[in-house]
Amino acid sequence: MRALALLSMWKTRNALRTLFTDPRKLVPALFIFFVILLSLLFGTLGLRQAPGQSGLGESKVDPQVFDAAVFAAMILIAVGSIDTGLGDGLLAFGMSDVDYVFPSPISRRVVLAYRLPSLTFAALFSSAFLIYMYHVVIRVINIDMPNPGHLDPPGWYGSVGVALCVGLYFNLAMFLAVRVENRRLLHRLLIAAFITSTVLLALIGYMKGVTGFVSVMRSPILEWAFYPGRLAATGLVNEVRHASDPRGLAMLFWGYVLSAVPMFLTNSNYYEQSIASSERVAAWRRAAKAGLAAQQASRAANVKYKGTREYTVKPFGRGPLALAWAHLCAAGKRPYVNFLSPLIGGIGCGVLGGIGNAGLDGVGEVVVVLFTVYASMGFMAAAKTASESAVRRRELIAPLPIKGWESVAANLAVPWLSMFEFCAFAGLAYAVTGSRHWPEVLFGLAVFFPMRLAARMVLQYILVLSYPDFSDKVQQFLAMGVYYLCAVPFFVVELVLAIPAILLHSIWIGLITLTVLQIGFLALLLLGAGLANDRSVASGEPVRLFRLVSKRS
Amino acid sequence: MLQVQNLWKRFGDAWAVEDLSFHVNSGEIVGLLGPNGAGKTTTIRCVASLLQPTEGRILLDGHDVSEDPVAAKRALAFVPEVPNPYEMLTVMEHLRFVAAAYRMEEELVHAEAILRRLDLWEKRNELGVSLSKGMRQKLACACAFIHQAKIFCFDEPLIGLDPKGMRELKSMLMERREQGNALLVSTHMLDTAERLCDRVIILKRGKLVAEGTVQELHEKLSSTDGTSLEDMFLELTEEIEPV
Repeated sequence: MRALALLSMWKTRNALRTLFTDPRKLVPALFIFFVILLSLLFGTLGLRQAPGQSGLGESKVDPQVFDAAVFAAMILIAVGSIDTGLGDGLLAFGMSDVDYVFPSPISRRVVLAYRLPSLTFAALFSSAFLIYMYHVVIRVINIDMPNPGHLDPPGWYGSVGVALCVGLYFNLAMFLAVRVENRRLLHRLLIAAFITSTVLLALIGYMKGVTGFVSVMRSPILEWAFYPGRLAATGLVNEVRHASDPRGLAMLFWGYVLSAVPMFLTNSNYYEQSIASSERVAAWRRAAKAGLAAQQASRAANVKYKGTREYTVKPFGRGPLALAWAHLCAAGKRPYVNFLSPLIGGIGCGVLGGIGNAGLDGVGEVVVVLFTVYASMGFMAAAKTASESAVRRRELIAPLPIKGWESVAANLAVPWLSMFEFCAFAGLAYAVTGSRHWPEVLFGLAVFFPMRLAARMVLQYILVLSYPDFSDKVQQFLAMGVYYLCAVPFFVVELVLAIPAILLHSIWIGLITLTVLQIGFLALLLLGAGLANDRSVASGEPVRLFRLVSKRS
Repeated sequence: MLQVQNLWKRFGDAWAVEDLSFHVNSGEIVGLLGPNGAGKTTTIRCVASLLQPTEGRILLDGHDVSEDPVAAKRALAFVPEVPNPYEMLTVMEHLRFVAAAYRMEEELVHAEAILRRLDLWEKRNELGVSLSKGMRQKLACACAFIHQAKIFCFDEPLIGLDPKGMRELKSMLMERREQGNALLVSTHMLDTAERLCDRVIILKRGKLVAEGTVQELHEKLSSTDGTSLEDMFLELTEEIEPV
């Protein structure tokens, strides 16, 4: 115990010393701190009410419905907490612990106790966030349930109750992680049970309305199965009911203490499972430091296919086409993510727009545009991954007789194709529903928007080339800022050229003008990216896939 | 001192080690040899109690690693293949932690001598994060030598070391042998194994294919005295692909 206490103390002391002697390391920490601080500040300011003002008005919420909703939320938290024990999270130690602590003559129980502070911290952190969100919700919808004759409980009752409840479920999750060998199977069973229950609950809610939902939530089986959650939910509801329940809090406290007992009673050799989890998490963390592309590759490497697949695809095309073909072959190994989901998403988006218009005229276009803009964030992230991968394998591609701009276009072929697929099918599905302005929506989605997004992806490619140290988070923050700065002039030009269309109230003039503009932008940016690609210094690790291409040439 | 009895280890559907038995006596260095995927690291990890044997027993100084792991590990010093030092611990703090874990703080008086031999004394106040690959390997070895272990398990200890470091480590291993310790060393460096080890164990696909001194292997294979361990190793582990 003493050795592990010393270890923790030295690690903390040296980490703090390093942090405060190297101000650069403080930048990401400060950034996160300010984001949290600003969120809390705006949240708190938003909750403040002027005297006599009562927010959105007094909400007349049925106490039983409110109680059932809070209990349902606690059940979700309980299931989520237990599920963490069935993944890699709880058993993942640092690789240094695996090398120095595991082989040492320190009892496995003591090593588990060494893990407990981080579990407790995770429970406190999660519950603090939940409590904050709960208070935001009850203040925004202004829930109050007058309860004459009762006293307000101390302000910390509800919060401590939730923390104890989350801690209790984390302890149980840790017990499962240590004890259960086939965690993956249990995880699947838990998820299947959860989905089935949710579907049943939705069905009951649909058939019997809110009363059906409340009666399910108040069923004794559910209340006993999630008793700690029930107690924590009562503690939270008591805050608005002006009632106090110290007995429930005491039970949660003892429940938390007792929940740690099975974890320490078992002397299972969890090291083997822990090493597997630790190695996976360590690989993922290393990849996360090295950027999005490496992160995705690491995740893909952990996916085990049951069947065998033929990975060798015949080469096709020459020069940049061969390179693009190699990218397509690689993307074809994950067909759902790269090709099927954009297709389904696009059709869904278009149909949703059509349905929207059937309900209320004019809503459909807004829905389609909003969904497409939202999806574009995902496509930009995919393009960033592709750009990062391209930077890593430049040593292999650079010697090939392919022009810079051709190489850039080939490297972005997959994100372009996925994005075009989504947009085109969204437009087509919308057109098929026969909703209003369908020709404009179809043209906008199938021609204008893909051209615009393709140009933005090339701009992002240039920025990735300019800031190629993916492990340097400060540099990556800077690159993100510079990207948005660079995008501003393009946006201003688009805005200026859209003025005639706005004045003439012609969507077609606007669409055609802006599409022509995007073609120009795309050509210009491709040439620029090609030059940048040729001049940039090669770095990163080679990727085997592209040996196929280099052999051909 | 170290006894492995009918060890079986399975990962999913694949057997990594099958019915492996061997022993390492006091004052003996035994080399664990085998091609990639032969089960060397799995065996060593089972000995270090990092992996649970599917079947079989491992005794360290008379203690069963499955039944009394703490007592068994008290007798053991283990150096992994790729050591990962604590990024936020100095070299000296690593040694202090290991000494505290083995409750052998009094042995820290030897810290300076060990660190000087491994060229780490000048770096004693540097953090683990700043060490090179070779230095990390040396640090792991220093941690293994700081407590008075009876059994030493090294998984590829010479990888990443400079020639001077290799020489120093080999001489430290031989000193431990003289002091009556049992040493199990997994390596791919066959010439080193030939010179350093008293006996070798050759594994292939988790099975023991040969065990004994180099001379005994010569006799088993009916090879001439000029045949090197490398030749014998290749002969024993060669895969003949079906045409």
